Amino acid sequence: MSKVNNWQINREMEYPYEENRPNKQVAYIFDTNKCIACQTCSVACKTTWTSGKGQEEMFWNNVETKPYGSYPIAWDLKILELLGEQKWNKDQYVGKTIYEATPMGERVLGFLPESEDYISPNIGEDEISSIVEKGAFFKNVHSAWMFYLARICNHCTYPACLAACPRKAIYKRDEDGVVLIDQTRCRGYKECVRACPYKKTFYNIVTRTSEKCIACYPLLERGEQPRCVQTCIGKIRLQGWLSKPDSIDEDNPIDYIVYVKKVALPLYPQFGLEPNVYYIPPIHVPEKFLKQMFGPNVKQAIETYRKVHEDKKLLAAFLLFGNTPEIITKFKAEENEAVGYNNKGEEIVRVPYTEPFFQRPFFDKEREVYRLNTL
Amino acid sequence: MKLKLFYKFLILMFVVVNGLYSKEYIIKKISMDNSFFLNLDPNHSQWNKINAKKIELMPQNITTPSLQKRTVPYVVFKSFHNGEYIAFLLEWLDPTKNDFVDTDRASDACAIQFPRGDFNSTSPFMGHEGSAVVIFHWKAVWNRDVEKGFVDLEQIYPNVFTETYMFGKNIAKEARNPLSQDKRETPAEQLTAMGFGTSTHSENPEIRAWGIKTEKGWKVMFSYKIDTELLPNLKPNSKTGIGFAIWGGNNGDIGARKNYTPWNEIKIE
Repeated sequence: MSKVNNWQINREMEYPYEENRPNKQVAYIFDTNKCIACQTCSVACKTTWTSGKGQEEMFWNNVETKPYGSYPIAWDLKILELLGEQKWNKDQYVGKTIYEATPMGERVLGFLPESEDYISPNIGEDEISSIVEKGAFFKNVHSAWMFYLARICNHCTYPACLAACPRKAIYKRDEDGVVLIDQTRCRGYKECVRACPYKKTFYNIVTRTSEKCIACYPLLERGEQPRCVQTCIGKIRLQGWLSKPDSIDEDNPIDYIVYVKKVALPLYPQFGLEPNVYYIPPIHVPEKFLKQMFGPNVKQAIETYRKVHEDKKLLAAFLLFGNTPEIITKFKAEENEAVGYNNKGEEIVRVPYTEPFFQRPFFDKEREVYRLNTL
Repeated sequence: MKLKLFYKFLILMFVVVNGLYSKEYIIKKISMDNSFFLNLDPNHSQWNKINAKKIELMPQNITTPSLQKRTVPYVVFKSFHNGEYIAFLLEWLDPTKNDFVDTDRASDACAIQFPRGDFNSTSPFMGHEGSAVVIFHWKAVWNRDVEKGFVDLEQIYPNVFTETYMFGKNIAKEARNPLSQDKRETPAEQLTAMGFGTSTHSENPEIRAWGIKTEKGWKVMFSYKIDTELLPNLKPNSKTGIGFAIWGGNNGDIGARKNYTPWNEIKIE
């Protein structure tokens, strides 16, 4: 085991390989407050990559309802239970990561799901945390909650799938940080399926190999965001490049939201993988639940998010979500508009802070029709 | 430096455990028609006339991932040759037949391994850098592929319905991954390795195999056409080593999670 630096848990940790951050790291921000679980992302991914024989129950992208939804079933409960107590001391994780808790004879702490765990990808859909108290409906506020959690491969800095593969058939690309399974080397041992705590590697019974999200790398290579990002009708997603923790660029929207404003947080940072999908936590969910899921900075993230109307630069970064298929590498908050630029410095998107309002005459004389201004 | 120490450790382990397996087995020359070797019948009466050697298996816990407790206690081994072919018969206890694969299902399997060079200086743990081994690997799921057609989705889930695969691809098949090919001539694969994680598929194998499930377990016959370029010491009037590995699918044994033996000395008459 080597000692590597994991900024998400604010300490060094053990990992089977040496620290080797890629030249560029693909990263995503998902705003859970905007997701409506329409599953457009799931379908876009499915029709693009996993509609082949043997992939029937395989969703590289899925959206599950929390707290009860999960795909594969109970993926999170099982690994949390295996890992045992997870303790934070302020913003430093002092419990064990899945690498540090590895049982004797294993490469990583993990478990192999049962085949049946994949057959209900949307189990628990729209189920709320508890029953709504009698009369609460009339008081306008009740304590029941739920939220949607969109999930893809995290293209982790310290991937468990890669650490677990005895054949070194999994690799992380230096040019973009994408984690891939070499389909010519894989011998279907399922060690990656067992090791990934997020359960985002899958076994294909027809090819007898393991497969996973490829971050739509053919799109990345031509400067476009992945399919799940481009097709999101709620505009909850932004994909870009996350700088190394010691070279933060405030003009990069991903860096600004993740590192500077700390409003988007990794999923289960205590696992120790340094995942690169960052979530803006739901503002209405009990802090205790969110703290377990996104770490100790949840309260601060939600406070910052609630005050976004006072922070023009953060608002500008948020407004870039879902407004261009291209990858935004820099952004600027102008007086009335957010502006995004590509890696060549060309302007690729301009979004007004306030949507323009047009009021049309009630009667259109030219066409002799009456028009309503409501949607 | 670390790697060299690691190999020294492996050789030391090999010397220690090999003492347990040193009694030589003689592969006799018997006049048999080549058809015996090509027809691959593990129940052929000829096998009743061949000496058997019972060999204790150990859980593979030299490298990770590992087995902490063995799941199959021993393998019974028989072998003879006719000058052109060598036949090997492996029998082991396994009450369940596992010839499907799925996320939570693994195939029963076995393998025999030979050193390309001198077995006294080749690590039995899949060889080591500069000292290659050749592995002949049989799997129950491949046996079923050959016997009843490729074990496809419909065989595992008979009531499955999918509207269309029009846009689908099987990337591993298109990438010509040998594990993903749906047509096999024989349920055996020939591999070369020089250490953990290096096993590499060989095209045009010199090996054929066939397995039969009995009530008690599996009987698997391998038939190898002697090729002194591939295995210089596996030929008449020669000595070499043979290693065994057995996987119990019911226990989820797969890859390095296996029961194994180090080198067992064999003398070919």
